[in-house]
Amino acid sequence: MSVRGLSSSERINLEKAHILLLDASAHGLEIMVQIMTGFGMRNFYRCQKVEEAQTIVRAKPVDLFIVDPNFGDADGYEFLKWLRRSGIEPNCHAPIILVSGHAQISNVRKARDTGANFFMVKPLTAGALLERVLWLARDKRPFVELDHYVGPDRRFKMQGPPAGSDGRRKNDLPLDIGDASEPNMSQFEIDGLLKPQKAVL
Amino acid sequence: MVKTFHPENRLAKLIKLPGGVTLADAMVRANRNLASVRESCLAGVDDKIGEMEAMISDAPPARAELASVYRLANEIFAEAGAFAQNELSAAAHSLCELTSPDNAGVRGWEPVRVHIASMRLLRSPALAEDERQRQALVAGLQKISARASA
Repeated sequence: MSVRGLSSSERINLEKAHILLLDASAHGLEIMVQIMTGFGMRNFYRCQKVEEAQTIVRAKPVDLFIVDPNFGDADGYEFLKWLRRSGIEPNCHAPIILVSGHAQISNVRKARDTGANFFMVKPLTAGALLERVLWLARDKRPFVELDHYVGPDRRFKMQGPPAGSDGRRKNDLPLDIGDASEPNMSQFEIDGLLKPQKAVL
Repeated sequence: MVKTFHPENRLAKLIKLPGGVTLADAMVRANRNLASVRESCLAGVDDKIGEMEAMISDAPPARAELASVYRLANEIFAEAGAFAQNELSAAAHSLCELTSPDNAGVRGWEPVRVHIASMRLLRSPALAEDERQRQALVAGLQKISARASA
């Protein structure tokens, strides 16, 4: 058993992390708790109702949210949007893994707009969940706040502004490269910009 | 106007504290813990199949009833799958396809009833050793749900 791309001897310490789990199913919660206890996590808030989760968010700091938004009568997607816009520090900026079983087409756009850091499809496995937790601990994406979205930047790769637009951000550069405004650099000038490195064979 | 900033990642700080477990140990312990709740969770799956069986009646299914079947099937899909009950999980997924609010195709209980009866069969010892028959059963269910969704 291994975690992709990582040494199995690498250590993690999640004993002090507080995790809020929201899932309508008691057995769904139990599966997540058992897996994550194996990772060394100890402090869980188990919630089967959105109202319970909101009460915890208002009262306790949470370091990681794992939410299945599929509820019978309440809307877990709305809970996530509420959380991101709540202004309750540090919880409103905490990493969120959205886990879902069968994906309704109508919920795909909702999921994208919740502000979750990552979307995982059930059934969950220990390996997949551990990979995502480690990934979140290394996630360096900035948060963005817009009228219609609050959460981590949804652009995983900076590949320029969306097609057909000039971009919405100050640092969005146009894809078209303009004409040179200065003469080409000489080879001597280019060499001067490079830092010599000793080759290791 | 887009506001961008870098909030503190508390998880990133905590995970680096001294002590803890190796990734190899974390995986072994997680799978061992998961195995310890296998029977209770699968008993819960049996209860959910029972709940769905109890909903079937002669009257056409109401929207709320289909929503309940969808929710229970979705839970079975995830929970059976977590314990490698692959065909049962696939059968539950097929029932989700059939009863999804995105799909207005199902008007009677019959295709739902066939799915639920098949899920009960997949949980019985009769098919425990016969993977080929289990897969054939699931393939049949997927045809039913695809036809109803078309």
